[in-house]
Amino acid sequence: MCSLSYSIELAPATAELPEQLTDHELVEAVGKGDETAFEILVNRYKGQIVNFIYQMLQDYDRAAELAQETFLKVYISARKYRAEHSFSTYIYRIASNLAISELRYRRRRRWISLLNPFGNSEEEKPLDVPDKAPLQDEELIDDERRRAVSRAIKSLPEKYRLTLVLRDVEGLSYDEIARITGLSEGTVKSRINRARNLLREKLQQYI
Amino acid sequence: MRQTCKQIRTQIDEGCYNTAIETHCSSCIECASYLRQIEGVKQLIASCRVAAPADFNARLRRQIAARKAEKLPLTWNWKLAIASLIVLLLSISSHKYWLEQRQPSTKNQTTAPSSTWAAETQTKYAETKTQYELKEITTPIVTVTTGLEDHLKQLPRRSRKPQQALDKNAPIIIPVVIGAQPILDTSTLGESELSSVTVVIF
Repeated sequence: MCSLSYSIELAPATAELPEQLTDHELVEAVGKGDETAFEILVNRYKGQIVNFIYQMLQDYDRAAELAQETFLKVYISARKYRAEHSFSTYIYRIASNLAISELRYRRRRRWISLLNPFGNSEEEKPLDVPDKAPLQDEELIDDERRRAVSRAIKSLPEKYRLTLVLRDVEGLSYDEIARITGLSEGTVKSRINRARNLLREKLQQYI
Repeated sequence: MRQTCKQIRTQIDEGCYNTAIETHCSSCIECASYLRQIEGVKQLIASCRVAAPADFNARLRRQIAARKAEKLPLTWNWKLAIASLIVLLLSISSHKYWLEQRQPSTKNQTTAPSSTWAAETQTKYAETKTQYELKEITTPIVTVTTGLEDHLKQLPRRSRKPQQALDKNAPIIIPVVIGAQPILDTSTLGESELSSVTVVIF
C-alpha cells in the first residue's frame, strides 16, 4: 500500500508529460510511431487549421476534409521532418498548399460548368451551422454580418486572401507568413494592406 | 518629432500600435477613422472563426487506419510480384535446360536408323560421320592439307575458291557455300586421303 502511493507520487516528476513537449519533440515522437504525441499535435492545431482552410474556401465540410488531409501528411512525413523553422510554419504551408490547390480545382470546374450550364454545381455551399434554437434579432444580424464577411473574403483574389487570413485570422507574424507563402516580407505587407482596404470598402456598413 | 499621417497609417497597417499612434489619432480625425475601420475589419474577420468538428480526431484516426490498410496490401503485392517473377525465371530456365537435355536424344532418334537395319548401318554411319559433320558445318571453311588436288577439281566451282595458290605443301583454305551439295563428298575418298582432310570450324 505504502509502496504503491510512493510510485504514484514519483511518476509525474520522472516522466515528462507529453502535453509539455514542444512541437518539434512531438513530431519527432510521431516519427517514432508515438500515437499519443500525434493526438496532442492534432489537438493543438486542428482548430487553427480547420479555421484557416475554412476562411480560404468558405466551405466548412471541405475545410474539415482538407484539414484531415493536412494532418495525414504530417503523420506520413513525420519521419522525414526537419526542424528548420517552427512547426506552425510547416503545417500552415501544407494547409495553404492544399487550400490553393482546391481553389484552383474549383476554378477549373467553374470553367467546365460554364461550358456545361446544365451540370450540377455543388461547390457554392455556404456554411450551414445546424441550430434548432429560435433565432433572435441579434442572432439574425450576426448571421447576416457573418455571411457578408464570408462573401467579402470570398471575393478577394486568392493571393490577398491567403496573406490576410494568415495575418488577421490566424495572427501569424509577417516573417512567418513570408516563410509559408515563399514571398518577401514587403510583398506580404503590401498584400495584406491591399486586402484590408478591399474588405474595408466592402464591409463599410458593418464596421 | 511629429509623424506624418502616412507614417502613422503604415504603422497601423503593420499592427504595431504605440503611444505615437494614440497621440496622433487623438488630434487627427482621418487617421482615427482609419484606425477604427482597420480594427473593425480585423474584428469582423476574427468573429467568423469556426471550430473543428467534434468527430475530427475519430475521422482522422479512421483515415490513418485506412491508409495503413491500403499500404499493407501494396507491400504484399510487391512481394508477390517478386516471388512470381522468381518462379517464372526458374520455370523458364528449367524448361530451357529440359529442352537442351532432350534435343540430342531426339536428333539421334530422327537420324538413327530403324531397328531392322540398325546393326547394318551402324558401321556405315561411323564411316560417314565426317560427311555428316561436313554437312552440318555452319561456318564453311575447310582446310585441305595435301593429296586432294584432283578431288578439288570435282567440287562445284563456287565451292572452291582457294585463298592461296595451289601448292602441295601449303594448306589450302576453301570457303564452302552453305547449301552446296555435296560440300565435300568424303565417300569418294580413300582411307589415306580421308586422314589428310582437316576440317576447321571457326
